[in-house]
Amino acid sequence: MAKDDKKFPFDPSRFAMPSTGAEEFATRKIRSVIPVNKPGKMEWVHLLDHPDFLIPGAALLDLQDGGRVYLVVPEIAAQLDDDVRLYKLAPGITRQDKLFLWPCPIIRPGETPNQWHVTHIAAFDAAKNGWIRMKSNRACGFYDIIEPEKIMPEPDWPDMSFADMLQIAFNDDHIVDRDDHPALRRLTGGM
Amino acid sequence: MTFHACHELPFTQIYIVDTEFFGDDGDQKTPVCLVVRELLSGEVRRYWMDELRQMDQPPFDIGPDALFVAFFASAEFSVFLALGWGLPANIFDCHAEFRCQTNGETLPFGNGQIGALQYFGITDGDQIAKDDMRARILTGGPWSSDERLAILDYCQSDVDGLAMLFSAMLARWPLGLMDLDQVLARGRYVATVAQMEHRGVPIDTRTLNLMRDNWHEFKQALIEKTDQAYGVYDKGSFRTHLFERYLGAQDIAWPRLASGELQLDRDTFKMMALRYPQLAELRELRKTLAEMREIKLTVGRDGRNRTLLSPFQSKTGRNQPSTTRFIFGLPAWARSLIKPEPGTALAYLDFSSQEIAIAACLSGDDALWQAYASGDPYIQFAIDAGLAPVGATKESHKAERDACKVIMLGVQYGMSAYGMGQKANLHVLEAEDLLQRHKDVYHTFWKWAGQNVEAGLASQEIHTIFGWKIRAGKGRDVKENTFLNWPMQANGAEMLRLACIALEEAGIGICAPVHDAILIEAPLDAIDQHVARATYEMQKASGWVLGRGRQCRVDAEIVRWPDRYIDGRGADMWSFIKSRLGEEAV
Repeated sequence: MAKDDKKFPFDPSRFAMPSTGAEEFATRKIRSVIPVNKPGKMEWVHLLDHPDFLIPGAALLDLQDGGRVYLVVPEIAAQLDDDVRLYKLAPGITRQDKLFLWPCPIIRPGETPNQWHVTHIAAFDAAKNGWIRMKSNRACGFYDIIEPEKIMPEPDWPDMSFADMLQIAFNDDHIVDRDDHPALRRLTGGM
Repeated sequence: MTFHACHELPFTQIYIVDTEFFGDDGDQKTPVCLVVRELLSGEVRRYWMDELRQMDQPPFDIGPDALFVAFFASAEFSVFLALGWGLPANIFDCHAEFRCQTNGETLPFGNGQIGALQYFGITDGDQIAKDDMRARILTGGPWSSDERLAILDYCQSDVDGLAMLFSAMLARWPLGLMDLDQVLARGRYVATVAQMEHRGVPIDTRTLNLMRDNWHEFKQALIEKTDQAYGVYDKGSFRTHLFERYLGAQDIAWPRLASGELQLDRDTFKMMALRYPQLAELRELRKTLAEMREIKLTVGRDGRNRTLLSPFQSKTGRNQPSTTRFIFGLPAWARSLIKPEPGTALAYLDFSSQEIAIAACLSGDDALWQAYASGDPYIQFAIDAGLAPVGATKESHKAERDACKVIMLGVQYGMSAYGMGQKANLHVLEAEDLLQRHKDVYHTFWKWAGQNVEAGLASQEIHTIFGWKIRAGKGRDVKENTFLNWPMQANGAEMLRLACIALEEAGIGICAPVHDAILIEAPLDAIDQHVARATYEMQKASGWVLGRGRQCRVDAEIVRWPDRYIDGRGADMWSFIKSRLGEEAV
């Protein structure tokens, strides 16, 4: 193993560069759709538990036409009685990074709580502390709440304000803020 | 400090060199002439073969103060080595640098010297006349005095073109001090390539000649023997309808094209043979018949397989030798033609799970590094993902480990959950679950990999630790998986290059580089010592890429004369071939 002494020792460590250089190329995912719905039965979900990311009493109007729900401002909601329902509304995220707004029903004063609502609320609360799956148990008439046996990592929450999330979820056209809003006209048979 | 022109470079002399030579494929080359231009003074010197043979060193300085410039310098060095000369300390290989700077671009005229000149708008004379001259050189002479003059003029015209190319490259792609170091490291590898090409791989030529003489009969016999288990050949040809029948009988669901036809490409066969091991022999037969219609292995008169290793030819910077002329490009069984010469031994040293180590270190994912450092990253992933208990082993949780291995390797290539499921014999939902667990456990790696993909798709340059680059050029069809896998492959290639340099300069004889492995040769009584030193040098080289004092493990397998090299994947087919050859092949 004779060494070629004409060459200087080979030590490239002085001209190494960090990684691939791609670290300087920052990107950000643009969320153009944020659905408003309860979690699907196959979805593992986590809730963002922060007072800045919660509407404690959001009035939602569902026209039952298969379309998106409407967020109704309180002044209008007060006039609509049973056509709107109050929900807690907070951002949730799935293991596949789908951001959504989770409407959790609020039991009205005097209302007899049914087991679907009670267990839905329990699931909503449980999702504040970790990943859960909410699965309907029709035989028993309530939701099963399933927790993972092994702790799963905390979600990476998007760097967005709650106002931005609401804006994307409802746009302007799904916020009922005037008496002649088309959704109200549909409700009253006015169109 | 940045160098934009040759006179700014920190060298006292810059030699632009071209040589002409001839020689049969597989043989060491015979020098014809050499022309050298010292760029700073403009002096040109021309030497014919008889003058060159008188010299025991090149007729110019090859020490640390001089720079040697050539295009595909390993070709020039084949002449140097044939003449018994030393190799330069500082090498700028215009081919390697042109490839590095344009990697990912579409090059209408290719990446040869003519293509590189065209890239800069430099015309390179009458190509037809040059082709004619090249053909005349390859005849090996004798040449008249006029022909000698014409050959020297031709050689000088290449030097003139190269001088213009070198200046144009420096002007377009100025070099900082770190860039220059990286350029010289690539040049140093090119010198190592020349040494490896010069040495070659020892081949059992007696067996090879027996096979060549009877190759047609061998192929028929191979088909008959292998097809007994399948019944898919008729009159020596693969028949799709018979294969359909076989698949039906075996209850194997085979991927199909949109047209409904069976997908019979090489990758599909490879994937399916991994899933259904009973298909492995059929796959090996098809590969043999496809790649070895005739035996093109180039073996010199001294019994060594030599071919161009073609450094830096692939996007990842890996070598790209011919798949039919290079022994390691042939089907696995054919590697049994590798046999040490009497009194010598060979050793095959490879980096263990190199891609995982690179992914862990470059991404900074300590959990992934811990998995690698455990010695069995696949069982460690099974443990980390909650599929196996702490203390599980390869033996106690084989199924979980096998599944995790598919996932760990598949993620490097962007394999889909469906593909992973196919390969690991898992339901797609199980594969999806495992993939999600991989993302959970090694989230730092995934973040880093995502950044590489985004940068690559946006035509941003990404690079290896020592400066091999890629940037998707205009008009290129960019794929996410290219940039997902590129950092691991390209840094793996770099690790092997550094290892080759370190080994060769430590006096260890390398026969060939093989993807993430190196084949070395030594006298029987020194092989253990050489393997120990080679292992040390390879580990050290891996540390240069991985950083933070981390190193790859290196595995070694020694083959001592009179044994031959055996690749386990082709062992059965080799046994059959050996039985057909009878006692003549030992």
